[in-house]
This record gives sequence, structure tokens and C-alpha cells, in this order.
Amino acid sequence: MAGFTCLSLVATATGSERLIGNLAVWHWAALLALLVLNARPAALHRFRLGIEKITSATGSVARWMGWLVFLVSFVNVVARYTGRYVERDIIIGQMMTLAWMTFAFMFLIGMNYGVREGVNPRIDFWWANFSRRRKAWLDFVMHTFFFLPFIIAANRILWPYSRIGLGRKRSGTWPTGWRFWQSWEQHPDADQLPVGPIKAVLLIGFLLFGLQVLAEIIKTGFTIMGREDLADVHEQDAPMRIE
Amino acid sequence: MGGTLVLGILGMELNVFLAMSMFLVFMLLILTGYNVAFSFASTALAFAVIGDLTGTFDPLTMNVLPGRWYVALSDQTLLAVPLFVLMGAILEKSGLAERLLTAIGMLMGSLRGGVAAAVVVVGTLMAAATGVVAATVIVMGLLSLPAMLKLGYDHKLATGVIIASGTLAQLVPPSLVLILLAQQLGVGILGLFAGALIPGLMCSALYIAYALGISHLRPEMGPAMPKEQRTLVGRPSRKTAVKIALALALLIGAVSLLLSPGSALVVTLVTFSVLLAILLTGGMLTTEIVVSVVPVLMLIVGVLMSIFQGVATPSESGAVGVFGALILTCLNWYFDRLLSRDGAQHITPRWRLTLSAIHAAGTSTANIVVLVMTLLFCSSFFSLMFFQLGGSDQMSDWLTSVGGGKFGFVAVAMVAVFLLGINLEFIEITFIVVPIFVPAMQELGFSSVEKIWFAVLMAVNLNMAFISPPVGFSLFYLQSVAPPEVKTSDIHLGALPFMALQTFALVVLAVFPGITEFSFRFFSGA
Repeated sequence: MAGFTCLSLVATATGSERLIGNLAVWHWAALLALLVLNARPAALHRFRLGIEKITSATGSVARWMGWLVFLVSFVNVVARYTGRYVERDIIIGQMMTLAWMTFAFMFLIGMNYGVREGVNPRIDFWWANFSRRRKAWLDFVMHTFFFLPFIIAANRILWPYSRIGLGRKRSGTWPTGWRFWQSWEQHPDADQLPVGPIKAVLLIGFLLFGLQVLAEIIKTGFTIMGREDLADVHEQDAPMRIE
Repeated sequence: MGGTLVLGILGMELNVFLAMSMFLVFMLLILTGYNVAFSFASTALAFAVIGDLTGTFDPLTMNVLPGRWYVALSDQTLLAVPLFVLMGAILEKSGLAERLLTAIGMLMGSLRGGVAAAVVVVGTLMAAATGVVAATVIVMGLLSLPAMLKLGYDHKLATGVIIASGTLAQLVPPSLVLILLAQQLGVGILGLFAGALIPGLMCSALYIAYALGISHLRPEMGPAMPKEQRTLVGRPSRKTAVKIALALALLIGAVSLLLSPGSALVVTLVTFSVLLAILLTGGMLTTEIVVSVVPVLMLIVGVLMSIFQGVATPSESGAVGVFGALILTCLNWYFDRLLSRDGAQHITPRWRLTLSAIHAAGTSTANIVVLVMTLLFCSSFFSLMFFQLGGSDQMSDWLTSVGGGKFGFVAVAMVAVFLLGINLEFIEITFIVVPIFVPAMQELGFSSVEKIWFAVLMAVNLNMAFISPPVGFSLFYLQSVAPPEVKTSDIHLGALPFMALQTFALVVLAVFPGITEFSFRFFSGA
């Protein structure tokens, strides 16, 4: 707790405002969250469960998307093969774009699920022998002070990027009002799907990603406090399979 | 080297110093066990703040990040990742590897060390079909390891051969390593696949030679299989033979449709009569060999043909592979049923494409995609920072000033990758060091063929990372399925001779770039 306060003070003194807004604000927010964590654990716990519900939902969609990627790509191959014998170009640009967009969608909405399931690899040279508390401390500190700020910075960058993708003019006006599907960004080549939506999903994916990291912070926070009943820690004994 | 390093640090600009510290902090951070992907982003963010405060980095540069991420998402090369992983996940469930192991093990069992050589052959076939390491190692560990132990094989030889040949999946195309290297180095995936083919087969030939050679010199290490174990119960009836021959002929005919549709009918008829003749004259073992080898070969040929005939892009050929794997799984079930009706004892027919299996395949695909892409997203921020702070220039200055031109650079790069490989895994290494190598390669004027040569060397080197104790994924996979009498130290020691063979292959490939170049020109037609 004392360390936390010190870091917040340091952050207030230095803070790089252009990057993620005022860095110190985030640190003070974290400090405040820690106080709430002490006072109202049950509320935070429910908040985390809420986030994880979203994560489960997007995760289960992502887990079926692989088959969709296969179907789209396979249709492309079949179309190209048939097109050769009916001497007509059956394959349309839209399907080609759809293949990578399905793939992109799969990853972007699966990113938060990946955090929860721990698919991102760790070097468990020393990690494997750490106690639960120690693991929780490492994750808690790193997530709060470095990784979450990164996601906040990413979202701040993605916010204008995605809005321009959806058709917002640089002057700040929306040419077609709320009917953004009339104005969203088209692919530079002809006969392609619009790329605006996937740019919007980029932002949504990162927002969900940030939420899940927040959930992880709460979870590790509970572990540090010794409230493992609220942290549902499950051991990962076998290393992740990288195929 | 150390002297230049120290002098370099002392004479460094502040920004370069920051870049180097960033790299150092990152390496320390991942050693503590924090997520590798998150370590990339966290370190980069911390140094972005420091850079902003010291005036060496302009945070506005970060606005190029969404564009880079978008490019990564719309990259056709990376589309291959979900498709080939899905294909591997289906093949893992199909029961084909089991079939191949039984059949080829019995075929080669009469030789000393024959079962070990059979493991390499099966490993190579599966490698050419899938590009998935875990599946092959686990299946072979479950089936071949107990069989070899029963025969009295040396534990170290038995475990080593399984680890090494299972890992071939990452060298023989298609493979995840090659896909990621192609993406990071900016070479064509097709060219890299072509270039890696002969080097991959060379490694597999080395393993076979080693297994047979050492068992010949020291018979107690790899005894031959007694005759009574090399026969299968049952004999396929005529009706079964006709059905199997027809099914396989149709499969071959379907693949030949890709090559020349006009002759597909002739091909089907000819192969039907040839297969029928073989099946009617041979016994159960012959049948087993035919029904296990022919479909796998057809899958490999089908995937390659779809690329070379221009029907599919290299990435889309993964979709052809998924389709083929589904067909093969159904065929396998059909053959199981036919043969077990004819009294075969070694198989139990089982429908394997259950809903839960399909879901599991989708899950492992999502897992790998999320893993690779999260790492890619985070590392692209890291390499942006590293570049902006001038670290890339400094690194390529150092790498190009090693002396010895391209060979000097390659030697340093290979030693670095090998050292990192002891503790890190291939994905991390690919994302950490390749972005550092690329500017140096440009400065040294690597042609595209030389880039492929370098990528193949990297792939062989990363193969070593897979099996090098104490941290290697293949080791973990085998440990998880090995019987208790196999000590972990046996597995670790068993990997060493194969690492020596890989080093040998690496040196040969480095000294004779012609091997890779020939492979590239021959198979890609360039």
C-alpha cells in the first residue's frame, strides 16, 4: 500500500501527459480502486464476474470462427477452380477480403478470452516455483502500472482512427449523421468489402481487452489480499501447447 | 565483442542507450515469468514515457500503430495460421498417425533400430501433412515409446528419436515456424516452403541414418522386432479389398483433378486395378500399409498441387488441407470398420468427428491465433519504439561490422538464436530477434534467395530450441505422456545426439547455400 502511494506520488511528479493522458490520474485511480477493494470486495467481485461474462461470450464466438475462416477460404478455392472451366472469373474480391476479415474478427474478439485462459506464453523458468501470492504480485504490479496504461494509450490512439474509419471527417463532422454505414471507409481496390467495420472492431477488441485486464487486476488483487475464494485461482501445471 | 559493447555503451547517444536498456529490461522482465506479449508492450510503454520526458521520443509517432496493426490483420500470410492449425488439430483426432506407426513399425521392424527409423518416417510424413508438433510427439509418445521400451530399446534413443522426428513438423513445410518467418522477413511463403523442403528431408535422413547406425554398432540400444510381433491377425476379404481399392482410387482421382481433369478417369481406373492387385495378393499388413500411407501422401500432394496449379494461394491451401483432413478422417473410420469386420484385432472403429472434437479443434485454433496475434501486436509496438530510439540502426551497425560480410552476420545471428533458444521458444525468438536482423540484412544486401536461405537456417536453428533441454516444448509434450520408468533425465539426454545432428545439418546448410537454393528453384519453379 505504501509502495503504491509512493508510485502514485512519483507519477504525479513526472507524468507524461501526451501519452495516456495524465499518467498520475491512472495511478491515483488504481490507488482508489485498491481502497474500494478493501472496503467493498463483494461489489468488485461482481464487477469482475460481469466482465468475465462478456469475455466468455466473445470467446465462444472466437472458438467457432476458425471453422468460418476455413469455409470462406475453401469456397474461394472451389470458386477459383470452377471458374477456370466455365471460363469466367467466379471469384469475387469480396470473398477474398471476407477471409482475412473473419480471421481478424476472430483474433480481435478473442484477445480478451486469451488473457483469461492464459494462452499467452510465459517463460516459466523461475515462475513455476513462485508462490501464488508472488505470481499475483508480479501480475498485479505489471498489469496496473505498465500494461493497462498501454491499453489505455492504444485505445486513445484507436479512438480517432476507428471513427475516421467509420466515416467521420477530420473536421469532426459525420457526413451522413448516425447512418455511418453509408459513409464508412471503403477498400482502396474495387470490388472489396468496406474496411470501416473491421477498424471499428479493432477499437472494440482493445476495449474488451482492457476490461479483461482490469478483471485480472482485480483477481490478482484478491489473491494478494488472501481472499482466494474470490479469485478463483486455477493452477496451470502443464505448459501451454504451442503447435 | 565485449570490449566493443562496453565502448559502444560509453560512446552512445542517450536515445540509443535507452533503446539498449529497453531491450535489456525486456529480457529481464520475461525471465521473471511475466507474459511475454505483455512484457513487450509494458517495456515499450515505460520507455515511451521516459523517451517523452527526456525528449528523445515523440509520442505522436505512436499514431502509426493502428495502421501497422491493420496491415498485420489484412496480411494474407497470417491467414495461413488458423487454417494450418485447424488442419493439424483434425489430423490429430483422425487416428491416422496411429495407423502409420503400426504399419511402418512392422514393415521396418526386422532391422536393428528399425522401429526408431519407422518413427522418423512417420514423423516426416505427418510433418509434411500438418506442421503441428504437439500432435505428432504426443501420439508417438503414447504408441511408439511403450512399444520400443518393450523391445528393450535404450531409453535415450527411444525418447530422442520421438522428440526429434515429432519436431520435424516445424521444419518440413507447411509449418507455423516457416509461416511466421516468412511474414517477419518479408519473403514469399511459397518460396520459403519450397526452400525448406530438401533441408527438412535432409534432417530426417540424418535421423534415420543415426538410428540405424547406432543400433548396428551397439545392438543392445535398438534390437530388431521378433518375427511373431510383425504379423497382424485377420485377412481382408475380397469384398473389403475391392471397397478399399475403390475408395483410395477415388481419392487419388480427386487429387489428379487438380493436375489434369482430362485424365482423372484414367488415373482412377489404373490406380484401382493396381491397388486391387496389391490388396488381393497381400495380407493384413500390406493392407494396413496401403490404407495408411496412400491417404497421407494424397493429402500432401493435394495441398502442394493446389498451390502450384494456382488454384489456392499458399494460405488458402490450408483450407484445402482442412478439407482433405476431414475426408481422411472419414476414410479412416470406413477402413477401420471394414477391416475389423474381417477380423483385425489391432483397431477399434470409432467415429472421431464428434461435435466435441470439432469444438476442440476450433478452440485450439483460436488459442494459437490469439497467442500469435497478441504477440505480434505487442511486439510491433516494441519494435516501433526500438526503431524510433535508434536501436535498430545501432544493432545493424554492430551486426554489419562483425566482419566476414554475410557469412559473418549469419554466424553471429545463428549463435545468438541458439543461445536464446536454450531458454526461449520459437515464437518469442521470431518476434524478438528477426525485426533486429532485418535492417542488417538489408544493409548487407541479401537477395530474396539469400533471405530464404537465412530463413531456412533460422528454422533449423529454432528446431533445436524446440528440443533443447531444459525448456523445450517437445520435451514437455513427451514428458506428459511418457511411462513412469522413463526418467526426465533420459528424455533430456536423449535429445542431445539429435541436437548434434541438427547442428551438423545447420553447418552443412550454411556452408552450402546451394542446397536451399536448389530446393527453392526446383519446387517453386522460379
